[in-house]
Amino acid sequence: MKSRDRIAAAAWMVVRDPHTAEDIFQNVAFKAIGKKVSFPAEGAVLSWAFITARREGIDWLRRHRKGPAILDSATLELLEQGWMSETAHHGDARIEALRQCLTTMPEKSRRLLRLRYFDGHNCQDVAEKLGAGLSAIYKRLSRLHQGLKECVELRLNEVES
Amino acid sequence: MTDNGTDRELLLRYIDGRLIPAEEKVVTDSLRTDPAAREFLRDVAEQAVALADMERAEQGRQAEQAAKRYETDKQAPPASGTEISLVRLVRWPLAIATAAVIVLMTSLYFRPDSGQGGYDKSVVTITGLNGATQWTGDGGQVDLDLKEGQALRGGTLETLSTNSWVEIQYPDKSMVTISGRSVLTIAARDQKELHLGHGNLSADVKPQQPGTPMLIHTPTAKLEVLGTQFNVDTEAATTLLTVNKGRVRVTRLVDGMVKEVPADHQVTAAASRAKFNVALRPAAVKQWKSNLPQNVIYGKWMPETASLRATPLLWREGKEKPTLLYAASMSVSRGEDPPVVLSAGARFRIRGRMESDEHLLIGLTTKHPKGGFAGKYESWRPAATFLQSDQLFDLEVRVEDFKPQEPRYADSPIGLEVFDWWCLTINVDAGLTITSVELIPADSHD
Repeated sequence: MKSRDRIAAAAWMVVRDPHTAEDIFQNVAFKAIGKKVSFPAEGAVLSWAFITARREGIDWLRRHRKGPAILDSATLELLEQGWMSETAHHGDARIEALRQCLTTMPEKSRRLLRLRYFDGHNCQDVAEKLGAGLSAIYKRLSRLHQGLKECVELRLNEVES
Repeated sequence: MTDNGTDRELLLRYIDGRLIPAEEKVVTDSLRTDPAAREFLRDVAEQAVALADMERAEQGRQAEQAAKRYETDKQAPPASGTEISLVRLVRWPLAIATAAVIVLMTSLYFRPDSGQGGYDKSVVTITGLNGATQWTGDGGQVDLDLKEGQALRGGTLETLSTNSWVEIQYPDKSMVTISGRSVLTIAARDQKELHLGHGNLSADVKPQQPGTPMLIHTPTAKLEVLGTQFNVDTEAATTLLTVNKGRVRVTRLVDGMVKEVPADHQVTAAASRAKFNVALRPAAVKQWKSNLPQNVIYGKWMPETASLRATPLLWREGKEKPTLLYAASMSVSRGEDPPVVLSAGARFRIRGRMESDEHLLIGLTTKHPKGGFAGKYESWRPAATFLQSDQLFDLEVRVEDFKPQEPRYADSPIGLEVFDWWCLTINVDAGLTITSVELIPADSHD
């Protein structure tokens, strides 16, 4: 299934755990294959996949007593529309560019992202592990996310030119 | 909104659930109206899942290499870190990872005596116990016949009755005691890690290596301990930590707020964002009166008669046939109440009702002043000695009449703090109800 990272990202916005988001993406993919769902256009597939991922995410939160999703349905729908529009404009090129940027980033920065998003530590734990203040961690994460975004745009521009 | 770093930080804090309501409103509004704010969140989510995906793939390569090395030389079993990574690996449907999983799982599960998922050292030893207790090992094996000196690996230890307790010891002589109706899961790993599902725990922890504190997880808090004496009392919605010596770091799970609790202080970490203040432990008192139904630990509160009805409780000790108890139990100095100390000459005045004339067993759980578990004490009141003609009773039990369950504890509870109080009948439902319990010091003429 194309756009796997975007669907997993949409699920992440609900559950905020990348491993659960990956599981949800796989469930969505299995559902699509198992039910032999047919859609008139690629946009319809994506729309169905985003909605299914969101529902699975909310169901997971309920089953694991994690409280409601931080973002309300209206905001989640707006985010999903953004992803669908991005898919239409850039396909998977943006995701590829992001993976290249992640590969080339300094280990110190990658470690921070790994602690937060792969090991699943909250920012307070990350701050303690790195011997930094909580505010400093949020600042660093903010800069890293912005830096990766700029790196992705630079690479996309290079490809286009 | 996302033109500057401050706004981006606000968004990151928002998805972590760390904003106050006023800030939340600003962010919620901007997410609805500002495409740049939404774009930033989309970027964060994409980056998080892409990074996790790449890390999984990297761990997959490492696991495959480890599996190949293990197959080649068959020397050492795979490191525990590799085992943990397999949990994440199985999510990743790569043939390469599947192959590594099969090889490694085979080596883990078919290694002799590796019943604890590769951690085959004993973690703790039972150094004392009484009453109905249960151990569930990692493989789901249930043991109701625990013995002093028994070594335990990873699993769950439960004390099942109001008058049960178990004391365990780590190899470095750190001691942990649970009592009453408590559930404690012991992690099978070198760093001391416990999960107190509910109930109460008292610990005397020897100095730990820097960087590897003892960790205690409760439903609402995480405690980090480097060496100290402290007591924890937890239920679904709150965790009360009382530190007697040293210092304990508490993280409240609901918002990640951290507090350092020094000696003679206590803090309550609730499931909500209620106050989370470290406070000096209140001064001890010698007098106490039950406050029902707030104090109820076990039994059924009967609002129409404003009394606590004893309810059935199975007492299982070892392989013996279970005994049916009818018990009522209440807290005395749990929560943020001041500690209640038993003084010489003091007496418990107990008022209630029994429909039939039966022996009554009255008991106390005690703690050392500024210390841990100090034993359970009991006193019998034989049938036909206290029940009045109208089935009511109003009896007094002197503190000196309470005897320790085990000879290892002090002969008398005088000078100890009372944690909780209970009474019960054995095998017979005598319709026991308790309307009030008071501790009256010797110098009082009430």
